[in-house]
Amino acid sequence: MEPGKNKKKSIKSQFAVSIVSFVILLCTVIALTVASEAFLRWHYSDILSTASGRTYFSNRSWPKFVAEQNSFKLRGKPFDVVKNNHVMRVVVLGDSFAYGQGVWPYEKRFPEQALEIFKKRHPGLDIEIINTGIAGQDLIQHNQYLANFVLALKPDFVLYQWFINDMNTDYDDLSLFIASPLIPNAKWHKTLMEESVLYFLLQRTWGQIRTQLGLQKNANEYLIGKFSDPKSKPSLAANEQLNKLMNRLEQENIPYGIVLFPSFDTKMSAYQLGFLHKQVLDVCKEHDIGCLDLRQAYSKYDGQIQDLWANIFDHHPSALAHRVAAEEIVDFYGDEWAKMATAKSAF
Amino acid sequence: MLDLLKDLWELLRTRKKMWLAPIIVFMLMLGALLIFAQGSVIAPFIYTLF
Repeated sequence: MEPGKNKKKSIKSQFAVSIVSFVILLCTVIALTVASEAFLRWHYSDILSTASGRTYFSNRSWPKFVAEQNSFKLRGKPFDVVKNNHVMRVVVLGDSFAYGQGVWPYEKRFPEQALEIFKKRHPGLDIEIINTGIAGQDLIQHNQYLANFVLALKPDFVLYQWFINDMNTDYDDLSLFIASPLIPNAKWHKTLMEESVLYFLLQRTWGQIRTQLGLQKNANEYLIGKFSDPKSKPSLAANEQLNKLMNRLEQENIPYGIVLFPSFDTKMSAYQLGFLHKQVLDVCKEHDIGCLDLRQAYSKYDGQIQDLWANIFDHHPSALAHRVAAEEIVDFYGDEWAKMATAKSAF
Repeated sequence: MLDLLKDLWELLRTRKKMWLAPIIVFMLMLGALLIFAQGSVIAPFIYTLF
């Protein structure tokens, strides 16, 4: 055979081997990706939520939470707008903490647990607690919801559940701490976040690496930068919204209280966001109302902070954290509620 | 750790089991991802958006 022909044949066969190897490698990678995804779904089968509500985990458990909705599309047992005049009505206004993100069933949330504790302590008193918590609400939306729905329930007492992100009323700078997507195509990124655990973990890790490298702010840095000065524009805007809420309740002659939830990201002994609590507590003082700051109660769990998390991907309160809050709420507001309920039952 | 990886590479090369390489790499990556997810001290910020 001619040497030129031999060489040509050898190149051809090398090319064929390369193609086959590449196809085998591709198939292996695809098979491994599918297997990894299946393994991760099984491994995290008890995860009900993530901090952001747009992930595979949140989608997976969404039907569970929807099944608990009443006719007002709120999680919790059904209730009538028209109230029984002999029953004292407490309405809880709040965000994903009151909504009970990551906690199932809904009876494990602090409003429901507070009712149970109160009834045990005051068995003869008629009281109902309506939980109107909606995930993602901020102070502006709380004000709207108060005017459009909560006041129509004719509450005898409104308990506003506050969390650090309530102070944020503009979101133009959210990109400062939200990691840029691993896949630049927004549609693909959204689809993968909602459908894949593997992609969710990669995206989360990517955000953590960027934060470690200082390419993106963490939550504390973001809030400190924006709100540490009580005279800054965002602080004043939050203060205005908070005052608006309190003024409205005072105009309507509705007694109210505020329960302040801290962030569970760090131990209470290393908590950096106390200035946000102080800003709210100062407003409470101005309005001469009792506000309950839960930092002290949660500081007992500094050694096991993870017990306060809904899960490792979601630092919303766990059932235990809800229980702690419920006990503190009844300790703090229970006597006032008992007096009001006694007066109601005598009416 | 580096010695282990070297030994592993040597094993795959001499026994002509290179097809195992992607499986090993994948498993290592998955393990790292799980460890990172479990032990991360950087919290995801709570901004629930529905």
